[in-house]
Amino acid sequence: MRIVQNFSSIELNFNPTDKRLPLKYEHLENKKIQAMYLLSSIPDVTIKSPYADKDITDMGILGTEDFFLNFVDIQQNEVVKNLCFNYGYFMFNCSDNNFVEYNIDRLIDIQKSYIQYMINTGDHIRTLLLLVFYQTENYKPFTDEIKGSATFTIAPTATYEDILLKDIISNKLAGKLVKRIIARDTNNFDLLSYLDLYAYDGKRIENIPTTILKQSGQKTIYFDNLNIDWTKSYFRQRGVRERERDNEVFTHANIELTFIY
Amino acid sequence: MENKLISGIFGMEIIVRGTKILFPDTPQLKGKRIKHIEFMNSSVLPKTHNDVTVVSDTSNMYVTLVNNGTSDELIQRLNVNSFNVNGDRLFINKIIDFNRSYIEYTGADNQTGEAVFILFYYDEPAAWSAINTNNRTVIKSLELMLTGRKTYFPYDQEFVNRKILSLLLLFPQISALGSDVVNSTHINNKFITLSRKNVEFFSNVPISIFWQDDNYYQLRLQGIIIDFQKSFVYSLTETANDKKTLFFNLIIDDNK
Repeated sequence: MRIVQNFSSIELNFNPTDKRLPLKYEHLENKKIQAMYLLSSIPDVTIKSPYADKDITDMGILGTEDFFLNFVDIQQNEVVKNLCFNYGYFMFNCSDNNFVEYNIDRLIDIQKSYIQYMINTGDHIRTLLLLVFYQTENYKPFTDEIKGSATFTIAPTATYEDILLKDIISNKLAGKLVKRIIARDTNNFDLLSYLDLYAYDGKRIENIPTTILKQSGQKTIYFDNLNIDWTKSYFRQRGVRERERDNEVFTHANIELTFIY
Repeated sequence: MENKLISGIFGMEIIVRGTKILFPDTPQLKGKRIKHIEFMNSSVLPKTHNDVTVVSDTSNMYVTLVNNGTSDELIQRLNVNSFNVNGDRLFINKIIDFNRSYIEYTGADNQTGEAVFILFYYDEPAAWSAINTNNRTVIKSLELMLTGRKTYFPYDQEFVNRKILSLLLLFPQISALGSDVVNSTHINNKFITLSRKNVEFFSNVPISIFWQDDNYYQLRLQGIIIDFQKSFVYSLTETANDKKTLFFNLIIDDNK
């Protein structure tokens, strides 16, 4: 179980001719980092970046690619040394949302933190998403007891589409403190989308991949009681997978979002 | 369900003879609280640490475990394959009377002389530490270049008296320090022994259990403290594929 207070997706572009990518991103500065993971695509299932019509690289078929996170805190302690992103412990993809929990709980020195990498095959830039869980204030008291929920269906019509949640979400959720969101593709396809959420109290869930919000029976992600501003928050479709079943091709499946408060 | 915190693991080899096979005398487990047990089949462990072939016909193999100090059969004729489903290990939480526990085998007798291999996960006070509630952690890498059948870990000040919460085996092509890493297809012949103050609290443990990438639930270590210079990896073979580097990430408690 992980309680998410704030979240940020950062698009990383790895040039094969280099070996080190500094984490000099303002998203990370003065934020108490809890954990970082990577998001990749997988063969035949490509998700796009939330920020541009650009594919997230499929890991696994391109040859030798090794990524190691190195994180120095502002007291100059080396708190993460060579965390290997290559496998599902610390990497999400469009179909696998298992992960290993850890809790760094520190402010990062962005000048000294970096990802060391080795790409030995192909000369094209690899694009991956760095998923950052961070904290800006004390957590609210938490219970996983459900007070209520509401489910809404979104029907994307394009591969790259932004849908304002205000147009989807009913008043039932007005003022409710959301502690969990469950995403589901109604055709049970992989989820290729993001939720970009603003809360009234300043908390920010910036483009969290819906694939990690699937109900999987494994580890669960909770939120720190989000009072979401639906007028500023978006569902972002970033890819479509077609699948043939019984001679019928399914595309643009509907997405169900269940908000639990 | 999540695995329970453990601080000891013992790999037990039980040689098949007859239809009722008693557990061997195992001083390391006497009086220890067993948290989980896990059967390892021949596809994940072809040979034991003593180079004995692991049984392949397990459909007719049943375990009975007797609760210590009682006549209570805590586990009664449970098929060995039920002990581990993708990391979801049965929670025992009892002290077992191994002298009265046994395995029944009702299949063909051509497996005589082969071994059943069971891992016992237990509480070992010699190695455990209290876990702080806020779980502040650091993550470090540990590389071990295998040089032969038995390779001891090097001394590293960074790990002295550190409370380890998780030990994850990974397979980058090239390690962070630039070494060739052992391929995942070459780990089922390797075993790890970890010690603290002359107590071997991980004994004969197949290293493959630390490759937990596909497991629903990872092992949870109770802040174990390791004397690395007294700890080693044993390999059944010494081919070129064996003489490469093992790469681990360690999640370490960092509450001061």
